[in-house]
Amino acid sequence: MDLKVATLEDLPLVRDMALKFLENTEYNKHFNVEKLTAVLEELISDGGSTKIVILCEDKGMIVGIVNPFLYGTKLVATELGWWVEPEERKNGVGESLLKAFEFWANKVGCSLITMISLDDELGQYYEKKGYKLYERAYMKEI
Amino acid sequence: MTRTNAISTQNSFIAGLKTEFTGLNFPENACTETDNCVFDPTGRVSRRKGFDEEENGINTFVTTKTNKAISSFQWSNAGGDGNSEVYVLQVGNKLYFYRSSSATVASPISQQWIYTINLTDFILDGGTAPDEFECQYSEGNGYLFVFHPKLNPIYCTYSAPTITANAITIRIRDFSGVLEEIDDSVRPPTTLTAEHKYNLQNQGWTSGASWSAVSTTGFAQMSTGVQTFTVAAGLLTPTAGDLVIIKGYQNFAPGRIQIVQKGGAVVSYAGTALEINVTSAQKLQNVIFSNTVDWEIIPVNTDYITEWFGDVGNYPSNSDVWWLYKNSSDVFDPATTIDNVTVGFGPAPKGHYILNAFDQNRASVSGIASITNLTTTVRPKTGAWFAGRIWYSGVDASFPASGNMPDATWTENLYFSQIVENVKQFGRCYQTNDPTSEDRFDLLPSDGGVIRIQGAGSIYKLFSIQNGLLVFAANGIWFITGSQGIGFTANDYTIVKLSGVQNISGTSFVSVLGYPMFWNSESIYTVSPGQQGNLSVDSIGAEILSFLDEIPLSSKKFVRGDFDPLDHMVKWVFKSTEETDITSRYEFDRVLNLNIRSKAFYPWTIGTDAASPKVHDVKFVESPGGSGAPDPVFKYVSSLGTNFIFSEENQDSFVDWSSFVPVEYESFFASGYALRGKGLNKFQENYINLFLQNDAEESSFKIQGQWNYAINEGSGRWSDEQVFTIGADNFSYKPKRIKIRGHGLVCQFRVTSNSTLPFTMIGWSVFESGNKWI
Repeated sequence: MDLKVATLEDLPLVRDMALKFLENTEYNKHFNVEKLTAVLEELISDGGSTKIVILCEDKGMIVGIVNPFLYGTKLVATELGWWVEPEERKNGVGESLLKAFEFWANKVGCSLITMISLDDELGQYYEKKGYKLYERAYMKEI
Repeated sequence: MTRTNAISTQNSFIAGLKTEFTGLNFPENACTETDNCVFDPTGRVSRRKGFDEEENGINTFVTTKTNKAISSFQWSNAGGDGNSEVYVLQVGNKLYFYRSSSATVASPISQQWIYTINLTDFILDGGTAPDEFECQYSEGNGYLFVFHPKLNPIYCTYSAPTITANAITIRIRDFSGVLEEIDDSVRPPTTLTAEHKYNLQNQGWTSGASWSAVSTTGFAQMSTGVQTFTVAAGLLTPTAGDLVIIKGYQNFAPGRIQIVQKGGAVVSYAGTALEINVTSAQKLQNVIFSNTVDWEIIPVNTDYITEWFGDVGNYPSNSDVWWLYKNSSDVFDPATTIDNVTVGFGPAPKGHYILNAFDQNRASVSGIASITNLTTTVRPKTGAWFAGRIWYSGVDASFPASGNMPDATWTENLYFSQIVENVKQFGRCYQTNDPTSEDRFDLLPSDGGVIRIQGAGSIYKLFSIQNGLLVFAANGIWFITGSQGIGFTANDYTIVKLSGVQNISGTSFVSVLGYPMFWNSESIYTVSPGQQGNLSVDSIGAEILSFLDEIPLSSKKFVRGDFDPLDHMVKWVFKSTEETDITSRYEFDRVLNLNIRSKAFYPWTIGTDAASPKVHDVKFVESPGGSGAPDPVFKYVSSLGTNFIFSEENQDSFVDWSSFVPVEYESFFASGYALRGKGLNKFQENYINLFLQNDAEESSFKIQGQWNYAINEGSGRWSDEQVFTIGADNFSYKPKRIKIRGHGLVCQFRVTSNSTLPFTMIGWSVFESGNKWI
C-alpha cells in the first residue's frame, strides 16, 4: 500500500476523513467545517517542516505537528488526528501510518511523540508500540 | 348628420404585451405598452407587489462582490435522500449552500446556510482565478456537478451538514496519436523516431512480455550514471537498451512512500547484477527521505518493437497490428509470421493510452520525452446528467501547431462518461476495453467517449429531455439520441441538427415541464415536440420582438430565470442598459414574465436607488410543505453592498424595498387599438363602465384616452388624466362610469397606478357614438 505526504490536491480527501474522525468523537458538537478546512489547508501547506498530513491512498491518514516541549528543550511531535477507514482497519494501514509519522518526527528533530487515544483498546496498542500513559484529557462545556 | 351608437365590451386582458402588430391588425385582449402589471390567465390585470427582503431574512456576508460573477442553482435531490434540497449561490470564487428544504417562515432560506466551498481550491496549475466567470450546474444520483470554464468540473456530495467537493479529471483514450510525415503502411527502415515509437506504443505495441525487479542495493538516491542493482537471478529477459523507470521507496511495512524516481536504460543483466545507465533522478519527498531505499525497477516496455527490428530489420508501420504476428503457439514471432500477414493501408487501431483530455501529456504516459504536450487551461463551461452519465462540453480553446503536435481544438467536443456506478467514473470518458487489444477491444454500450459536432461552434448549453440530449451552440441546435428508439448508448447514437437558431449564452435557459426556453440575440425560443412527435424549435417571443430589440445584446447574454410549475409562470431577470463592468453586469433592473397558460408576456421594472438592494438572480424555491413551511415562491438573490439577501414580491404597500430605502414604482398599461368606424368614421367614447375587483381597502387608478395613435401628450390627442378611487364594500366587483373626452378614428385607454394604491380590473364596457356616413 502506498503512502504519501498530502498536498493541497488531497485537501478534499483529507477533509472528508477528518470529518469522519470528528463525527466519531465528542468533538462532533464543536467543530466548524470552514475552520477545519482552513486548519487542514495550513497543515498541508507546511509540507512537513513542522506540520504534516500523511495519507495511505484513500484508506487512512495521520496528522501531526511539532511543538517545543513545554518543560524542556526537546521537540515533541503531537498527533492531531489518526483515521483509518473502518473497512481498512486491522490490515496494516494504521501501523504504516504510525511508522511513517514516527520516522518523520525523528527526521524533523523530535525526540518525543504524543499520541492520543479515545479508548483503552487504542491505549493498549500504543503500549505495545513502546508508548507510556502520561496523562488523560477531559473537557467540559462552560 | 346621422349618428350611430354602439356598445363594445373588453372583458379580458389575458394576452399581455404585444409589439409586432400594426394599428390596424392589433389583436384583442392585448396591450401596446405595460409595466409593473400582472396579467393573469383569468383575464384580470392588477399591480404587481413590491420587492423586499423575505420575512425574517438575514444577510450572508461576502468579502466583496466587485467584479464577481453571480449564479445560482436549486439542487433538488441533494445527497440522493429524496428529501433534501439545497440552494447553491455562486459569488465570485465562493459557492454558498443553503438547505432550502429546512426553511420555515420563522427561519427562511437565508437562515439555512450550511456550507461554503472556495473555488480557488480548484485552480489549475497555470490557470486563472475563477471569480469573473459563472458556474453552470447539473445534478444526478444525488450529486451536484459544477462546471466552470477555468476549473476542472467539480462534483459535490451532501451528507448533512457537510458538502464535500472534488475535482473531476476528464480522461479520454488517445485516438489521435502523433502526426507523422510517413504513410501509415510505411515501415521505417532504420530510425525509430519518437513520434513513430509513440504511435506504435499507442497501437498496442507496449503489451509484450514484461519483467520487473526489486532491489535493496544502497545508492545515493539522486545519483545518476551506470549503477548495478542486485536483483533476483533468472528474470525474464532484461536486455540492453530496455528503457526503465526506477522507483525508490522508504519502507513502512506494510506501507511505503515513494521518495525518488529515476529513469534509465538497461546496460546488461547477468546473474543477480542488473546494470542500468541512470539518466535522470527526481526527488519526490523532502521530509521523508532516507538512505535505506527499496528500489522497484519497471521496464518501459518496447519489447515487441525491438524484437521486430531484430527479426525483420526495420520497424513496424502504423498499419501493423502486433498480435497478427503471433505464431501458432501464440508467441509473438514476426520472423516466421510476416510472410503470412497481409498488411492493409489503413491505420491500426489506436487508443492504448489514456490521457487527460485537456492536458494531453503523451510524454508522461509513454515515457518518450520529446512528444509535445497538447494542453489548455480552459475547461468545460457546461454539462448535463443524461443517460446515466455525466456530459461535459463548451471548452472554448484551440492549440496552435507546436513541436510534433498539429493544431487542435476542443470547442466542438462533447465528453460523456461511462454509465456511472461509482464516483471514479465521472471522469472516465473512454471505453473500458483497450481498442488495440487482441481479444477485448469492443466498444460497450456503457462506455464513455467523445463526440465532435463539426460546425457547431462554441457550445453553450447541454439540456437533457426525454431520451435525448439537446446541444445549444453558436451555430445551431443539435439533438443526440439513440438510433434504435431505446435512447443513447456509446455504441448506438445519432446526431441531428434541429435548427440553425443561434445561441449566445447558457444563462437564460429555463426548464418548463422538462423542455427548454431560452433567449438568443433576437427572440425567445422553446424546443418542444411537434405534432408529428419530432422536436421543433419555435420562437415564442415573436410577438414582442420590438421589446426584446431594446435590450442590449450584452444583457441578453446574462439573462437568467426560472419556472414556477404551480402558477405556470416563467420569470427572467435582466439588465435594461449596457453593462459598464462585471459588477454592473449582474445588477438586474427588469423582469420579463411569461404565463405559460395564457402565453402572455409582461415586463416589470424593479425600483432602484443607490441605497436599495440590487437583484442578481431568480429561482423558484419550494418547501416540503406542512405547517410553518413557507409558500413556494420566486426568490430573488439580491445584495446591498456586501450583504446578500433573498427577496420576494411580497409588499402590499406597492413600493419596492420598503425595509431599506423605499422606491415607488408606477404600474400602467395601454389597451389595444379600438377602431370602431372601420378606420373611416370618427367616433367618440361617450362613457366607459370600468369593472374593478373590489378586494382592497382602497383601490385607485388614473385613466385617459389616447386618440389617433398619439404616442405622447404633446400630440394634443391624449385626453386629460382622470383619477378614481374606490373603497371596499359588499360587492365582489364594482363598476366605475367614466367619461372619456375626445374623438377620432381610433382610441386606446391608458390606465396608470395612483401613488401606492392597488388596482385590479376585469374589463370594461364602452358606449360609443359616431358618424353613420363618411
